[in-house]
Amino acid sequence: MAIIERPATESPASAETDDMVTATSSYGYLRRPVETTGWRSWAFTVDHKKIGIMYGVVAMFFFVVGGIEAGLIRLQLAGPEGTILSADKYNQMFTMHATTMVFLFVMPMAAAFANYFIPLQIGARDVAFPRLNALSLWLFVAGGLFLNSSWILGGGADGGWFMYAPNSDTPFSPSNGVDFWALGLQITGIASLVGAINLIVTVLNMRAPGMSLMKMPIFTWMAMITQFLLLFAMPVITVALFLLMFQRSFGATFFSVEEGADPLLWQHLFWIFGHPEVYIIVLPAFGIVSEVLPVFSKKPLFGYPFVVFSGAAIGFVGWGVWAHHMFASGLGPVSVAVFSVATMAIAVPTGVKIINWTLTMWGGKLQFTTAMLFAVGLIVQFTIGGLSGVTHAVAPSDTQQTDTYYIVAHFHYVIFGGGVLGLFSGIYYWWPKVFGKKLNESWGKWNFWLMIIGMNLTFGPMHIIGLQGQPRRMYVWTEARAGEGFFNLGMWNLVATIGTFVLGIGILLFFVNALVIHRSQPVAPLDPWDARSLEWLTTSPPKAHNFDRTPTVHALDEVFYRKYEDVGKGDEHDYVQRASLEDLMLEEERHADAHIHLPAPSYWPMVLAVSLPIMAYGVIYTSWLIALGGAIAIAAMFGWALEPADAEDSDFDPPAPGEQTSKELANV
Amino acid sequence: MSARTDVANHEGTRERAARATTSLKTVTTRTQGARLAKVGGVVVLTGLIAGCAKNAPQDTFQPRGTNAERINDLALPVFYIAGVVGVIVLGVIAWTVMRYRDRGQPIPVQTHGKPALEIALTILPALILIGVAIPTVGTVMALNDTDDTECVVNVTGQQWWWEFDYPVQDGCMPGGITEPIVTSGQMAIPVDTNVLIRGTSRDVIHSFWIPRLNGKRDMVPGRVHNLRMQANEPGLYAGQCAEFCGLSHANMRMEVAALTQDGFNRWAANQLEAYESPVEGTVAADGESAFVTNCSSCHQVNGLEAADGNPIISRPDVGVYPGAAPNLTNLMTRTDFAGASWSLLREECRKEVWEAEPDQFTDRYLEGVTDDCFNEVDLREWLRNAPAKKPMYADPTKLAETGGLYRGMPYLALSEDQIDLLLAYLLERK
Amino acid sequence: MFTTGSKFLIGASAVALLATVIYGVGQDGVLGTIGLASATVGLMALTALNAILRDSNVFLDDDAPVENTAAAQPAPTGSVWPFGFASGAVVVAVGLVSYQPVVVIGVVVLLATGAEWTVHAWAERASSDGVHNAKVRSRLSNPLEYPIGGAVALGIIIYGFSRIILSLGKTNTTVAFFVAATVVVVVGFMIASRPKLGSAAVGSVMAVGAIAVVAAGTVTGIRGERDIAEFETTTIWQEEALLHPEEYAAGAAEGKHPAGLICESPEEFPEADERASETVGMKSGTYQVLLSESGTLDFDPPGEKEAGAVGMVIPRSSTTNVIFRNDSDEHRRLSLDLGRPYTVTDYESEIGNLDESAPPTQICTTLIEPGGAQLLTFKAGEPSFAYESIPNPNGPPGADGFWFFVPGVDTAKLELIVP
Repeated sequence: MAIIERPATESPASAETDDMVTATSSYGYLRRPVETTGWRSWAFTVDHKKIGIMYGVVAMFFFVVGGIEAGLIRLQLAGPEGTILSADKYNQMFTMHATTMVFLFVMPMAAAFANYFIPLQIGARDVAFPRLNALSLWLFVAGGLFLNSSWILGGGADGGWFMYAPNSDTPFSPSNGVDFWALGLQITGIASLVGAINLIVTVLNMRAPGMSLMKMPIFTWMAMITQFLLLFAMPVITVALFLLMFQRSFGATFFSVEEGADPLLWQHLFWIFGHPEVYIIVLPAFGIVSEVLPVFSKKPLFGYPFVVFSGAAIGFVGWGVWAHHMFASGLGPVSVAVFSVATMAIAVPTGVKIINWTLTMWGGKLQFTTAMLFAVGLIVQFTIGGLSGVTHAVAPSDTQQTDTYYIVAHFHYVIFGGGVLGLFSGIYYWWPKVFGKKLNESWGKWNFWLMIIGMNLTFGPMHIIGLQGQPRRMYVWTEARAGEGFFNLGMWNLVATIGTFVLGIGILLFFVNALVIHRSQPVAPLDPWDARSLEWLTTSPPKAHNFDRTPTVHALDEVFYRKYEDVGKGDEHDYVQRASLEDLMLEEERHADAHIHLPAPSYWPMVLAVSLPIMAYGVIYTSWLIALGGAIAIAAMFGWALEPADAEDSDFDPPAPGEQTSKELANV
Repeated sequence: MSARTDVANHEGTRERAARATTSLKTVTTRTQGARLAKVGGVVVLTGLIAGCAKNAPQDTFQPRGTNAERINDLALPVFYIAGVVGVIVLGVIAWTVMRYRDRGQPIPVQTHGKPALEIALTILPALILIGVAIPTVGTVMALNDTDDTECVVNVTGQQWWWEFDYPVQDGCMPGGITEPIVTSGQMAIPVDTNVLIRGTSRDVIHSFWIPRLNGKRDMVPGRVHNLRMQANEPGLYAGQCAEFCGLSHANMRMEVAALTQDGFNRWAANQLEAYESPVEGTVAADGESAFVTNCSSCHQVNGLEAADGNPIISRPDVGVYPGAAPNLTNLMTRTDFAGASWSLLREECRKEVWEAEPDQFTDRYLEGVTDDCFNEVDLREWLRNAPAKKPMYADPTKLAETGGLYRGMPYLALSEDQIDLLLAYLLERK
Repeated sequence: MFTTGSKFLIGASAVALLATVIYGVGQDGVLGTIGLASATVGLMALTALNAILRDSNVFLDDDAPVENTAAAQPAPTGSVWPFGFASGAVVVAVGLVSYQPVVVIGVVVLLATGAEWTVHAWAERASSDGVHNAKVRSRLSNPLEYPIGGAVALGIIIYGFSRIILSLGKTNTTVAFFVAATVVVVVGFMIASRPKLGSAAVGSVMAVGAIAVVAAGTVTGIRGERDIAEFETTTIWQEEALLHPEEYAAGAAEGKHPAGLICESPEEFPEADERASETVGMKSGTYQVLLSESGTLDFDPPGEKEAGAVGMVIPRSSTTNVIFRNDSDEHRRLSLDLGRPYTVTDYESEIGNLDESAPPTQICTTLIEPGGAQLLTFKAGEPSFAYESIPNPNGPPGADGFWFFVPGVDTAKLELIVP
């Protein structure tokens, strides 16, 4: 384990002599980096908080990229026979829009939250494997940049994010786009897999004393279920991508019909990954709103065990419904019927969550901060998405709806409504924790309302467009099939395009708020929202070592019960604030742990991450690059294994006599 | 701090008293609530219906055949249930949000949940879904039943058009089909007949979808998938390839022309009529030799003979990657071309056909493309430069991956004179 | 300037380089030269890495143990490597008189133990402190030892398991897999239910399991695999007959295989037909062609068969999968005769001209046992009416076009119509 701690009772002097071999100055040419400021302190960091922030920033960058792609798609479809994009560019655009949003925005954004807040929520000082954590980040960045470098190297992938065989094979997609896609996603897949293992180990092994699984904050729970889903889903897509890579680059015949292959193999592999992926996208957001709603309702999460178990149930049943993406693929009627019923079954635990969120608010004391608005927005939008989902769980009905805009509407209500809104809720809620200042609330409310209006204008009409027969993935639509009357499909297509830009302005306001308005915001109090969970039991932003004293946990909503006391008698409850968070913090600092040791930064995760895209370029262009990338990878692995265990001065000494706290020194 | 507590306590008691009085109101609004929900659900759905386009050719809610009706009969109640549930849930959320907003009430009781309530609220949606699941399974089975087949059509998808073959059989019409018929883009079927589509694909996965007649079914290379088709009344039913199939996915359309039984007999007889060469000396006769030179290596015209008397057999498998091109023997019996993307009829004639009353449709359709109605513009553009009109992988410099084979019709560099000849020849193909 | 580790690696690189030159000039052996050159490059890379990392020695600044130099050298510690090295030499000797692979194993053992021995000896000279020296040794060796050791151990276990599976029959394999999986789950469950269980206990359970697998693998490996035929298909036989007719006829005369084309022969061909039942392809969404007990051939498409069908109609150029089901009492194969191909020299002028002397385009399944089934995948690029006037000897008398037929059953004919 990365973090070595000694009991506070042990005197520092004896610790010195105890350890015979002590690091002091020289480590050879490649000592571990020690910078605490400047770009090096970010590039080589293994601090889960810095890694979390970088995950978030890069994910937001890709959010903008994916958003621009979406804007171009909607511009092309604003009128009949659009001419903004060629057919080829349009196909690349929708493929890359989905790929970017799923793999390069929502997943890493959820990873950002998980990275930053899981250790804080469970009272740990870092994740279990800090260098692996850095590796995940840089692999994601490398994979994302590699994938998008296809734009300047002959065009992006053009087979749709589902990349059905045999349309993804070289005769049908002769550009290198699909190669970039298959290899780039393998790289980000490694990032997800490494991250999943890291966070699972962290949650299972590094919880603060007293925190049993059923006292664990709900976000950590949902994030952990997500990591388990990743752990099992990523290998499946990796296998599929491997087959695709061999099919395209090395002449394999996994999907060659003339050789007797069955192209439905790809669909099964893809959707066995693809359906759990939906839950990978929404569960972290569910976790976030399950944190936000109680805080702003001033009530615990209603039916915590039900929410946990329904999350776990979704995690399990989610593996048994993949074929509902294939109701029109020509599976036999028995399979279709079975998967249809299984799909309806998964609506139950999902419904449980909506009921529990509503009942959390029921009888509460609701404060409509921006974070709360986004959370309520999620419940509403996700309910709509869930109900439209039930309409195509009914397989015969789905054969009319699948591959139309109705599905586009449905999954945007689920992924944007159920995923992205939750992430934004989390951003507003935890911003003061991460940056010490609140985001401006009035800008936030404009941001929220424009996003909600924009989203409903964009995706709402798509229900109608789809049910009236417009298929997805068409680079043009024709007036001949658009119907008549004022409310014809052309009018709704135009509305959807307008909505996209309203949505875009809403998101733009967020960036203004975060990048410009934020500067002049006042410093937020330690406990800006009267929060309930453990991550608030530290400074904002948290110190490098997170907690001065490893907290001992007695209850779910530990911080709330430290602040409030029930003075009621019998069934009468009355909660009285006994302490402010400032009081609690002083208490923590007074009992700070001695000699806190943090893992030292490292160069090697980044070097190892860089080697993979080089190898991937090699697969596409020339095998010499594979050798070069391989050499870098081996060097990085050896460097990783051989580098000094420690940097200088990575320990935090106990407070000097008379000082309030010496830990401020570590606050970098 | 104690002062603050007092205030809170004081407010707390007031609030409790207030809640006691409002609880009565809640009871009364609950029954009203149920009614409101129903009304709301209906209003929402009516709103949606009012917001719909009129006469959209691919509207999934306007079934014109038993299969689509069966789907509709299942889907509509599900939509209503979903609508009502949605209105109730969103109503409760809205009410909660309004009722419990922070008006200075004290910190609520820290209830962690009520298991009995939660179990009940878990079972309730489960029951609703069981109610939906049972008819779903029944409909799935019914839609896959093929025992009542009266007519079989082989359907084949290819980038980016559909081919329809009618195998030799006793069904489809009295006396049956005696020789295979091949057509493309538009599939003719007799009304009130249970047609079974037996579909496959030559290259990538396509999906056959005529929304007014049935849901969609993917057509997968190497596999044969069935789809039932039945139309209640004569008419032209629009469809569109629904599975992303590459570059020109948007231009892969198809139509089903449902004809009266008599009309279908006439249609089939016409398709099998012997080939008649154009009259010597006409423009079309020159067009025939232009066709043989420029087109016949890929496009089959049944009965066309070379100078030596041998039949001219097209070999699209030599020049086109998926290995086929539309059969043009009876091109002008169809109303559109190039994956049903462009009309062979002028706009007013096209409207006439599409908007013809069911009892007049068959005759109007069987007139085919008359000289007066012929829309020369699009076909001319097509012959001038097909890949410019419809994106296709037809750039001769980019065919390395297919071994030099085209996907779609290439640019043929025809002169305007040649195009005139070809148009004259093609106009006689009915 | 140079650290101890670098010196060792520089020496090793120099030796490898010398060996490369000597071997390359003296032996003229390409493969060996490449191997030695690779070793040289690898060692040089390690040298460079090690020089940069200064032996990756975190303890370099730890002066105290180093200051007590040679005078205070401790006695050498016990080492297993000399024994390993000697064993390697013995294995090489044994290999020289028995099997060549054994020599390779011996050489690998020699190299591995030699390297370990060298590193061990080098580390012992690092300082006067034994604990420190052990740390130095493991810092250099462990990054190689653990992955290589783990891979080798895993490889042995997987190889052993594969030997077991390969020696069992088809059904037994399934059973063995099932049993193995159950044992793993049960043992895992038992271990998990006793969290207090010491690592020694867990380790010994693992070791027993590993030894069991390796032992069983050795036994079954020596006993040999079950019979698995070489991959040989009907297509290969067909091509052999058409492309090398003389050799083929000679082989037939020697009795190596029946004379005639495999697709026209009811007899059993070696290899291809022996493994018939192992190659059943089960698929949905395919046509079935059935050979009835009475010797007629009929087809059954997915869904409903059209009433009054005269033959099986498939679209042109589409890949078609047909499952042949043999309901007769004999071993039979299904063959498809797609006529004699065009001779397309000058494409346009030759349209319609057929070369009747050309060999037929035929494809067939292997001989299928009664009740068995097999998949036939084909594509017809040309329409059957192109062959209207060309007689097809495998159809009924006087027939033309494309025909399914069953060699040896004259009544089994089914027309394939490609419009």
